[in-house]
Amino acid sequence: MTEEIRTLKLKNKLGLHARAAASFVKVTQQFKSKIQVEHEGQTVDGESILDILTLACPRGGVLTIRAEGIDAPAAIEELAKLVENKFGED
Amino acid sequence: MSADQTMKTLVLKGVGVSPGIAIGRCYRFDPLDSQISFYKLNDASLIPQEVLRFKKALKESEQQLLEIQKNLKKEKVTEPVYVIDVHILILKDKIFSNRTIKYIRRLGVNAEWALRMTLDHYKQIFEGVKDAYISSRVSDVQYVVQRILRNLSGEKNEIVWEEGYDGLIIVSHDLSPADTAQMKLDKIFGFATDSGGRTSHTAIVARSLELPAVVGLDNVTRFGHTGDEVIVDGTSGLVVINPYPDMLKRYEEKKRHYDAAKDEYLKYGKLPAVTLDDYHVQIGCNIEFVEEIPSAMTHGAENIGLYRTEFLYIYREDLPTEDDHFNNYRQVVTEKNLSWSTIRTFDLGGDKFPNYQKQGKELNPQMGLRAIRFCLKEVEIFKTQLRAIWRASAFGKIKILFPMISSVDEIREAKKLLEEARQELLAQGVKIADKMEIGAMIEVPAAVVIADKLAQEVDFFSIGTNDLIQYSLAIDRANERLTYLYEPLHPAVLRFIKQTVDAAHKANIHTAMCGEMAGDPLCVLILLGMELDELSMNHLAIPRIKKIIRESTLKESKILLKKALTFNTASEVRAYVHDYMAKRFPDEFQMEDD
Repeated sequence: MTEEIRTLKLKNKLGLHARAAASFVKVTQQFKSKIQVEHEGQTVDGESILDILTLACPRGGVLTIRAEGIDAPAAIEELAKLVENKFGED
Repeated sequence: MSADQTMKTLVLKGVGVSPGIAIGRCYRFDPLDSQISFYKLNDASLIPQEVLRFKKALKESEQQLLEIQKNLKKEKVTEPVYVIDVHILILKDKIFSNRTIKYIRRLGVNAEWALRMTLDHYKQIFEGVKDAYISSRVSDVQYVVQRILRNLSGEKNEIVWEEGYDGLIIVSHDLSPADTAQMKLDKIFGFATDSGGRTSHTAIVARSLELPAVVGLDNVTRFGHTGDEVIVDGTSGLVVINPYPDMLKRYEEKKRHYDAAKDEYLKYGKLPAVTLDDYHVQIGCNIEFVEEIPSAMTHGAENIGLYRTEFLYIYREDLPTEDDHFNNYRQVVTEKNLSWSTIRTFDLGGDKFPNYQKQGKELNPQMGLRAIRFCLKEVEIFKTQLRAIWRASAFGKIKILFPMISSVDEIREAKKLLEEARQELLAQGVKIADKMEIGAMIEVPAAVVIADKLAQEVDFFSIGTNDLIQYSLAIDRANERLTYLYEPLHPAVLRFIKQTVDAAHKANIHTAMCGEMAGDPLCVLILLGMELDELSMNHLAIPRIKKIIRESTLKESKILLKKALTFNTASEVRAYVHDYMAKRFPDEFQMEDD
């Protein structure tokens, strides 16, 4: 079992709003690993759009993503790419 | 309904967003609270079955949304389809469904009850979120819950068409694109909703279908029940539930008048706006949404004289992409019966853009950092729009219009950016038009005074009277105590307009007017007398304006204008012009005299 942790900073204009949250969850759901997301002390399930949304992580906010499972490194990589590309927004 | 069962007549006042009168039967869409039964399961053995029922409803809801999404994509709907994506992801959210299943198992309640508890749970959580935007997204959870509930009840969202119904009035809290996408629109006569405004989805759909609609009624869903007789008066913003017989008769009469007058006027819409002595004025339509084009065409628009693009920015959480712009513009310019489409670059202040929100409110936003001023500061946001306009120019004739120009520098700077955008696209090998006419909005008094200089820089002017009047008379339009000062026929305003047209014609450029004044029947002859080349107005005004123009002469208009310019006060001008128009066109101005 692999565990992978990475801290990411949101760069897109609106932070983790509905559209971004949807893109995020669409990625996490592709992986077998259990993915958890932490923001300012609150940890939620990375596959739940409602959980992600209620984190209310703004632009510049920091997310710590923890993936556990066989494809953990790939999952983290993919999520990092998504955040880096500002969720394809701007 | 038998005679002794007379129902109470109820009149509700809202915002009329699509004119006309509709009389039909109420159809309550989305009745979340009514017709839902909450009960405890008698026996623990019923639990697995109840969980299964819930899961089945989840699956059905997901399939329906996928289907709707597929259809929306096919129709190239411009509204963000991602909202439906969010709804689908909520349906698939394990935490959401497991919580509901847990309620069914632990508390032995039915799926409906459990679902309501889940919704309440999320309401609480979302209320606790400080970000106002995210907090408002609880409406998405609500929407999804409603859909599941509907599937649990076995309703298949099909509108029931009962014997003897003459048409349906959709009564709802609000309508989303997904809702209207699945309605049989040809069975619908009108809309009445609790919430919404002029730019809500319901309003746009209603206008594009030319169905009467009233929104913002607060509690029409509380009083209107499926099957009730309902009148929607979209012109005055009234909704009547169960009208008493005399009232119904009056409205039927009113509807006949309205429809007859509309048919009569629409005949004029098809004709060109040529005076008896052969002076031709081009008639444009002002639009805000692509969906308004069909009604612009039926009312007789020859071109789109003003396409306001602010809408693209306002009803969304992120910035529109170049493709978002392009998809809208292309739809406008490919309408084949339009001579051209004038696209005005966005006229917004920083308050509409996320990065600017923290810079504090402007004390006087009308005179603030907005329109071209903002665009020249935020070059990247501006260029995204400029590139999209160029790309759309390959599909139909576009004129570009820059708002709020107050100096030659601004127009030069805007032109430079437009040229940069063109070069970028050419370098990428993107197909665009060889050339595009460039126009300046004349709405700041300084622009009027230097109109001769500006005319050297552009291909046309478009006079925006709404702002020109407010700036030249120094009136805050939002201040209700000043509305009496707002007067298009003020001698200063008339001189400003004349000065602009004269300067333009001296430089041989086209002059249009796109403010409210252009569609005001009282002002038509005055504007004709100035020899404006184009009048652009809201679609409803077109037939009447064309009719007046066709029955008048350029000669008399010039005489009227000359006389009007001799008066000292706005009230003298107005009295004289009104008197002249009422005598000259008794049919047109008769009603206003009553």
